Amino acid sequence: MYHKAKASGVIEWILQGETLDERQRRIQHFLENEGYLPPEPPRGVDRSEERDTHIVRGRRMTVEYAVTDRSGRKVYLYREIMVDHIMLQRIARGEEWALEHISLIPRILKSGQVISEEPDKVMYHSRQRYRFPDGGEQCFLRVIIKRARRGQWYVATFHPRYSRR
Amino acid sequence: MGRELDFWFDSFDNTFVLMLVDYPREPTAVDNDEDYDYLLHFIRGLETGEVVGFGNDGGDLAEDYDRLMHLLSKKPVPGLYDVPELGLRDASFDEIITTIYRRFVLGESAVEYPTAEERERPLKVVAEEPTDLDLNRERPLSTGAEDQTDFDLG
Repeated sequence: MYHKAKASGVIEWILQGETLDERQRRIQHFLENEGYLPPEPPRGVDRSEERDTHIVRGRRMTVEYAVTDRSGRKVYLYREIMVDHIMLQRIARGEEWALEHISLIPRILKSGQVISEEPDKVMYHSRQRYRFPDGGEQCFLRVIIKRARRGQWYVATFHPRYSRR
Repeated sequence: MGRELDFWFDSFDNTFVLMLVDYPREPTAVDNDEDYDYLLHFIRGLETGEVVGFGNDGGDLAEDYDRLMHLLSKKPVPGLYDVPELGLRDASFDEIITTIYRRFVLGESAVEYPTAEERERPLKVVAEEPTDLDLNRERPLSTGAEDQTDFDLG
């Protein structure tokens, strides 16, 4: 988990949730309080392995869904990474507005633009630009996938990337 | 006195977040990452347009440290910063990254940091090392072989 000496009240409050479900519920509550829409369930995903567990970087991860990306890789989204890393880090950095769009991850993997590709890491950008509510600046949504030691690909992060027109 | 940064480190993937504390909270997004081969990015406020922080989300400081220091030597992040959580005052950005690397990746314990005038340069980057390196030597990273091994226990 996070090493943080000066935690904001929000992050501390979320981390006080003892289970993954409780932390996710608190994140949803925070987003709604801030005026953001809760993320919708993603479409076009494979849930046949939902709740299966894999070990990634020494930690047990629970499959939420899998999606086949544009290069034919099977990519897993793990609940622990989504809640405890992606969502918490977005909130810590002021990027929580992008969590409204987290259900676009499968679409970005299937039809997004590959920005950077390394043997164990691929970076995608959404084709469309998105703006935060009431804002003028536009951003791509970025998904980075990584390959674990056992070979499975997984969603490592999702964040907004500022786009200069 | 440097500008104060709030510090986070996520040990799962060795990522850090450094946020300026003297900025009001606002919606943000990643910027300037091409300059650092996507190993470091600025966090830009979408209302003010100002840089409000730095991070390496999507990277891994254990793997990226040498490359990142080389990139920072070519394109330094300007300014001096205070990071109370790391015990740093008036630190340059590469000094901050080196401290994070030593403390959280190598697992070195906290040390009394010298003043700005007394400080030595950060760890040398790969490009400055001699060319006759023994490539078979053990890597110095203590990233925790057990932690990094993926066993399917399911």
